[in-house]
Amino acid sequence: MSDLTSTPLTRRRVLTATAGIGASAVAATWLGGCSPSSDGSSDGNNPGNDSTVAVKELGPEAADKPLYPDGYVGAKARDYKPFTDGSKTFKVVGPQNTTTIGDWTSNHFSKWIEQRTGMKVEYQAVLTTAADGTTQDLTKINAMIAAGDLPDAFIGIPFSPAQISLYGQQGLFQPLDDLIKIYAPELRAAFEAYPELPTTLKSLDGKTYGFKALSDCYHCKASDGRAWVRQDYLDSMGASMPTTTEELRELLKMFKAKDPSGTGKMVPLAAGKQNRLDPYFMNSFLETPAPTYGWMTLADGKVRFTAIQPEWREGLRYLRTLYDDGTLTESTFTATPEELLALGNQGRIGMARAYYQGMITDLSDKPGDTWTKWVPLPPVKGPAGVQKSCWSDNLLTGIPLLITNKCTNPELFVQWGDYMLELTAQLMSYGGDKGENGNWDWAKEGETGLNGKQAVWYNKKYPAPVGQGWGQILYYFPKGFREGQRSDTSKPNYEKYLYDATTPYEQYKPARENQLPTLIYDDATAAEQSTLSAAVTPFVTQSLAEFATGKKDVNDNAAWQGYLDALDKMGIQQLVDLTQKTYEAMPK
Amino acid sequence: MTVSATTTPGDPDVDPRGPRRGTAPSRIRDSRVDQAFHRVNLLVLGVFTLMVLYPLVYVISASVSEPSALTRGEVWLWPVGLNVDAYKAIWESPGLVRGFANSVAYTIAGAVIGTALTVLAGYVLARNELPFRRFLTLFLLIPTMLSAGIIPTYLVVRSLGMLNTPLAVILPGAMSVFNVLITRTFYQMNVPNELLEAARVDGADEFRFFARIAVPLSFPIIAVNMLFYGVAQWNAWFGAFLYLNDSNLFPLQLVLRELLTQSQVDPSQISGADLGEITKKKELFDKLKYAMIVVAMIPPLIAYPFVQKHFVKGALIGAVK
Repeated sequence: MSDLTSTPLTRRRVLTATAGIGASAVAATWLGGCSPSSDGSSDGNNPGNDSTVAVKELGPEAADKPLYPDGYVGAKARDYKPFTDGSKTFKVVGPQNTTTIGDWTSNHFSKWIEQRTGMKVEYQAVLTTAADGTTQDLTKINAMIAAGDLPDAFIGIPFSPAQISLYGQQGLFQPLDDLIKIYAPELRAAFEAYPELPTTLKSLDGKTYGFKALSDCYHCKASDGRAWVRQDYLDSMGASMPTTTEELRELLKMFKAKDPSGTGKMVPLAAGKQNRLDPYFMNSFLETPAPTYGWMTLADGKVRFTAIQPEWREGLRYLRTLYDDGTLTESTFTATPEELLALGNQGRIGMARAYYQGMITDLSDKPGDTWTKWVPLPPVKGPAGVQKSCWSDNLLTGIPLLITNKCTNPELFVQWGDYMLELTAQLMSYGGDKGENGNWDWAKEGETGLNGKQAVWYNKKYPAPVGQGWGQILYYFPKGFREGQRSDTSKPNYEKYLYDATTPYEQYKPARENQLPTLIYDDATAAEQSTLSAAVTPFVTQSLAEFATGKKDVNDNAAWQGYLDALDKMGIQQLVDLTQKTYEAMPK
Repeated sequence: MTVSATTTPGDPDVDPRGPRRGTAPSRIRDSRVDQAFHRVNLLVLGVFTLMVLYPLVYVISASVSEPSALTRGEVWLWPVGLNVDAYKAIWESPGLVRGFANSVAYTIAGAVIGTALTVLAGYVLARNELPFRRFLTLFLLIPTMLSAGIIPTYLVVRSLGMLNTPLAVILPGAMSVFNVLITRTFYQMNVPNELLEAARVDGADEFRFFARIAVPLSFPIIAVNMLFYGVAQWNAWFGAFLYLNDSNLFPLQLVLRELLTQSQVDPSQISGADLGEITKKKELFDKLKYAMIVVAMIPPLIAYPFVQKHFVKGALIGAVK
């Protein structure tokens, strides 16, 4: 316990200054098991329990740096020196990924970051994705944890925020709040740029158990409720972009009557199981969030369940008229992604609700191909004048770096993570090798980014060729980084298409205070929450389809009352209450 | 009489002797009920065969089709735009050949070890002289009803020092109790006590009897066991997933699974991607999905006909008490 002499900081002779982390309880926790480090106390500086440790500051700007546009938000290219001599090797478990990372040990970025930080790391790769590629499979990680087979740190393992909160409170992961205050200048800069970031994903006990990552993804904010329409079909029918629900209805009827596809089997409106209708259509009647929020929004600080409101019923009535017109069918609710894609590729869809164009048409890099004819359909104004978009301002965050209680030098890992937030490191990780023969480089003067301003960087391929970078592991993609991606005006990259398909939705977004933040449920509540939603979600989804397709009559008060009663029995009020409770208890 | 009964009475167009000429005169004719039964039987089996065959043909067709034809929904039976790009991609992907070799090794080892253990256990349990025979059988049955779960098993494998070794794939669950029971019943039925007594008279001891008489008599059940264990080991990936870290040891199924996961396009990650890359990734995924299934099913498909004749005999005899 007494031997705390060997924090690498002292060797680096950084100015000792503020922020004493004396013999506080926290210090005892994370330095508790501190074994004598092998590098010894080579210089006389002794920041023991009673002395102070220097607060690390941002490094000087690097000579090899890009041109930053005005109002650039994000990390800059900076020079940093190794903070440890690598006499100690640490064990880190990361995800297996043969298409981007390849072998962790020989990966270029692994080597680069080792050189930059001085940290020797032994990596172990674990498969963490289930066979469908999108869901997580943490079986092996859980077995390792249960068996006490712990590394010093986990990186890029997709623990859920609730799991992290739970494991953190059990002492498996170390709290990093105090370490961040001292050792993480880049993360602190990110906290300043995004004041919400420190509190997002904070554990229920108010502590921060991991290193945050952030992607200020502009197009993701609207993706969940975006609808698309074929511009060439509009042109060939001489129709214009609808602005109200009534015009939209007329347009769909026109698709059906005129059949611009020429196939004789036109599908005026397509959506499906994974591309639900309601996030687009219901927003012309009331504010409706993305499916992940389970129809929960905020109104005056109170959680509100949208699918039982009278406006929701108006929305159902509208859908029913579409069904009576024959422009909406049962398959609008049941189509699988494969069916949707096949329909789109056959050119039979007029309007679609989909996450991105790739779900309704094969993407290609040839300009003028079919998929470029899909243009976003901005929100339309409902009969009562409501015109909203399904929009989420919640930051896309993650907790990719978790330091376990096995680790005796958590401060080294905090610095290790912090070095990765710096701009060059971010691009080395995301884009692989730099330079002419590499995969990315700084943009030249005059080249423009997504927002039309000076670009910062460009890459050739995504993901980088196998074995160069880590891809999106410990990512920090703030606004400046994302918008600073070069986009050739003659041949825009896909990000540019998505960016342009998002701007029409922004002006209709709901107020920030009406959007439910990302909530973390505590253990007991989480169980109740998932039981309740397991009943409510399928029922609302199914009822939506039944009301829309006339299996239940939306104009019949008894049928509507039956729907409300059924939801009551399922405990909708409990669900709202516990969401409210969790929202109020959120660490501030 | 039966013949005329099959035709509509009073139908002038049908020669009542017609059907008689069509069938071999020397055979005993099936009764009307039997004929109906055969027809229904054929129909049901035919439908069933189609149900099994269609996905097989579809998967093979899809694996050699143009990906764009797949996403347009044009492939439904025969290949469209014949090509073998998917197989080329599989062949060129790292770790595939090694995975295949590993799988073959695990399958052979698993089949041999599993069969050896099963035959030994099954034979012994079939012998009436064995003390505590019922208790031992019951003892074997306990783990089939109460299984320990992933983490305790992981702990056992770890304490035995088998983590990250081929043994971790082969040994856990090497013997299946179900197979032991089938094998035991087989010996009870096919190797009667009288045979043992006769061998004893001729001077054979227990080991000699087992090796020279019991084993040669039980080739069908050995073949069945080999097949059961071999196919199970060939299809297995979970043990390898849980216990192995070194990708050089991965069996084919795990390599394929990983390849498939990685080429999946995750909509939330599409940002920042350039189009060519998304397209390539998606095409690769669409193609690989089917080609992988074909690659993984070929070896059992080849092995099956050779074992099948034993299989019917062995599994059936073992099943009847």
